[in-house]
This record gives sequence, C-alpha cells and structure tokens, in this order.
Amino acid sequence: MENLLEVRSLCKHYKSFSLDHVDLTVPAGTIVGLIGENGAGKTTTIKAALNVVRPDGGTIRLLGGDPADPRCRAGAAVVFEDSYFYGGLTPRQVSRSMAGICREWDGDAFDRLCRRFDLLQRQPLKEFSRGMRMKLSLATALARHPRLLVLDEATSGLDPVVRGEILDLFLEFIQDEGCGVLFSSHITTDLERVADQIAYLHRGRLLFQEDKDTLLEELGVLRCSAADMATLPEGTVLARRDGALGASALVRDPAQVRRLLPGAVVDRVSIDEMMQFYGGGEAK
Amino acid sequence: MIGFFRKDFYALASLYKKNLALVFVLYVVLTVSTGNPFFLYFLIWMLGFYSLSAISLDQSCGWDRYARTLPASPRQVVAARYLITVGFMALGAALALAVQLIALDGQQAALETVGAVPLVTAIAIVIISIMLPAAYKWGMEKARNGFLALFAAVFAVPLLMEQGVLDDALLERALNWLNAVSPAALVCFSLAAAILVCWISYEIAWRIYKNQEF
Repeated sequence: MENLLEVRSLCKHYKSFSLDHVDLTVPAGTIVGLIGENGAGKTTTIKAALNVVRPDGGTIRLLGGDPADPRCRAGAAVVFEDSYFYGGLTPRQVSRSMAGICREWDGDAFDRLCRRFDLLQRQPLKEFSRGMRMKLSLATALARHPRLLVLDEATSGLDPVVRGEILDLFLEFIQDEGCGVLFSSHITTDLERVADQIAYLHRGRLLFQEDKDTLLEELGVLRCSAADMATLPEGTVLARRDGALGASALVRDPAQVRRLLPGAVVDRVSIDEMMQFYGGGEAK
Repeated sequence: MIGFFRKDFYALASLYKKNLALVFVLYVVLTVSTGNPFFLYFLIWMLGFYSLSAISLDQSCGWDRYARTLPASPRQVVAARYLITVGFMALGAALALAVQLIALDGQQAALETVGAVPLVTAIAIVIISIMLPAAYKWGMEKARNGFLALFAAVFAVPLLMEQGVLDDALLERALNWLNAVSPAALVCFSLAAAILVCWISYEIAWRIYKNQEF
C-alpha cells in the first residue's frame, strides 16, 4: 500500500521541548488518528510534515517527494485549529483567492460544500461561528481535491452535531482509496468512530502506531489488587495506576489475563483510558 | 501569485475602503480650498502604509503558517506582497495626479508640482522597501518604530547643521546638485533608484521569509 506521508526519525528541538526520532506513516485509504497530551508534539509533527517548520533531523516524504517542494504540497491540504483567513473576507473572496494560488482549485466543489454547510457566499468570516469557520476551512481544503487531508485539532470546541457532519465528510473523502487523512484530536470518541489507525505521541516520542481495532481488542483495563497484578507474566502489564481502591493496569491479551486472574475485572479499553494510563500512569 | 495578491486586496479593501474614501474627500477639499496639492502627497504614503498592514493581518490570523502549506514558493508569496504595495502607491500617485490636473486646472501651482508626484512616490517606495524586510524579520510593530526612529534621524540632520554641530557643506552640495539637475532627469533618476531599492529589498525579504518558521 502506498504511503501518502512517511515520517522517519523526525527530530525537532526547541528550548523546552523536543521531538525525538518520530516515525509516522499515513497509508493511502487510511484515516490515522494522532493522539497525545497537550504539548506532546502533534502540531510540531504536522508542521514539519507540511513544511511549516524545518526538521533538525530525519526524513519526510510527502506524496513521494520533499515537503519543501510546492508541487508535492499541491496534493496535501491542511485544516488547522482555527480559521486563517482575515475576518473581513467572504467565502466568495476566499474562493477567488484560492483559485489564484492552487491550480487544482475547484470553485464549483467549493460552492457545493458551502451550500451543504449553509455558508453564505457574501457573509464576512468575522460573522461566522467557530463551527462555521471550521466548515469553511474544511471546504477550502476539500475543494483542492487533495490526496492527503491533514487536520490539526479541527474538531476541538465544536458541538457534537457539527463534529458529526465533519466526521461524515472524512468518511466520504476516504471512499477514494487513493486518499488518506491524518487527524490529530483530543476528542478520542471522534477517533474511535472514524480512525483506522492510532498513533500515540507522548512527550515528543511516538509510543506506537497501530491498527485501531487490533489495539482495542488486544488491550484491556485490569482492576485488581496490587498483589494479584504482581503475579502476571512479565510484559503483560503495559502501564499501571495505583489508587485507594486498588490498582488498575493497561494489559496486553485480556483473554489470557482473565484466565490467569478469574476473580479480577478486565474491561475493554478506550483511547481515553489508554492516554490516561500512558500519560498519567507508570508506563512499563 | 495572483491569489495572494487578491487575498491582500480583498482584506485591505474591506478594512480601509471607508477610511480611504473619507480621507480622499478631505484631501481633495483641502487641496481645492487652499490651492496647495501638498495633502495629495499624503495619499501616496497612506496607501503604501495601508498595504503594509497586510503583514499585520497575516500575522494576527495565522495566515503565514497556512501559506507555507500551500503550493507556492516563498518568492511568490513575498512577490505578491511587493506587488500590492507598489500597486497601492501607484494608485495613490494616480489619484494625486488626477486631482491636481482636474481640481487645480490651469493654476501655476499645479503645473509646478505635477512633477513632485513621481518624486514623492519614489521616496515612498524607497522608505517602504526598507520597512518591508524589517517587517518580515522583526514584525510590523518593530518595523514601524524603526521607521519613526529613521524619520526622526533624517529631520535631526538639518537641525544639527543649523546649530553647527554638523558641517553643512554636504547639504549645500546636495542642494546645489538638485538645483543644477533638470526636473525631468531628477524624476527619472528617483524612479530608477526606487525600482532598484525595491528589487534589492524584495531579494532580501523573500530570503528572510523563506527561513522563518511559523
């Protein structure tokens, strides 16, 4: 399967934060959910992938080429957390401007998306709600007919109805198996709904990039006493948290854990819980 | 590149069209009532400074970060900014010339000062060409402060000469040269110098922009 984005051993150093040899791929036909705590490096990774910041080390292949090459960037469109158009512009003016920037711009597709999202062509953006601005950004990205759609916290702060509309659009977009989505979000329920793979960044390092269904099936949350937990074979417990009512742990192979500790509770894990274990627990 | 130009044009038009209309009417009234075209020259400066505001707008709404992801080179992005700046100043010069020729029709003052329009335009292009790379490097606010400091320094020189702190021989030589040169040659020289400075400024600015991270 062709990789639309390949990040290998990406390093980027700032005074108080570093990306440390991050590997990330977005295969065609796939929605990759990028998760991580605030400041984990999600936005920096996306910026490096799209030529906004220069990596200090590693390689990035965007649609088979160097992201610094404008021709490679033509096939990738990004939606950042908030609108980047001046508030005095109208959607019609955005369309005319983008038509002069991107050769692949499809004004008719943009108009259709604006109608679908109830965005008035002559209304200034400063009168738009946050949800409307986000829809405009998405319409702007999709009207370029990109192969790779990159979204950085695009659904943050939006109500469930708007988020649902946007997620539906992702699923439509991905119907073309030559396309892919990299979707960074804190709203893990959105990722559970649409993502095919989950990539987890923690303190500037990629902990894993796995198929979402496999991940959710192969991991579980064990709740038992610390003494019982200690009896499990090495490598079973991935991260643990100790509380007043006992210990809980993120464990591999829930079926085996149930066999070994018949009295213990082993629940399905959610992406939220996974983040809490890695982010706040004691990782093994 | 035309798309970046359009984006700036739409943004500046939505921000300044009322302000420009009011100022234009005011300056025309002042020019006609006093018979002095001095106020019209402000139009050229004002339109040049309007276009510089596009840099502040881009910085405030995160456009630069987005522009970096678009299929356009840093040269194209910065070239569009220079085009809009020079275009706005040319518009100011055209308005100033038109008002002078129409409103002060036949008056001696108008005939004498028509040549001042390209001269003022050339000076404005030079000053704004100095400010543009500074705005890319340090931001619009610092560039404006730098411009004010430069402006104060330029005005301080004749004052210091008058008080004998500086030797005024250089100023005298410059004034003698200006008197000796024909107005047409002075206008041509000024515009040529402005184009050269603008080109050098552009070459510096796009390199600064290219090396920036957003």
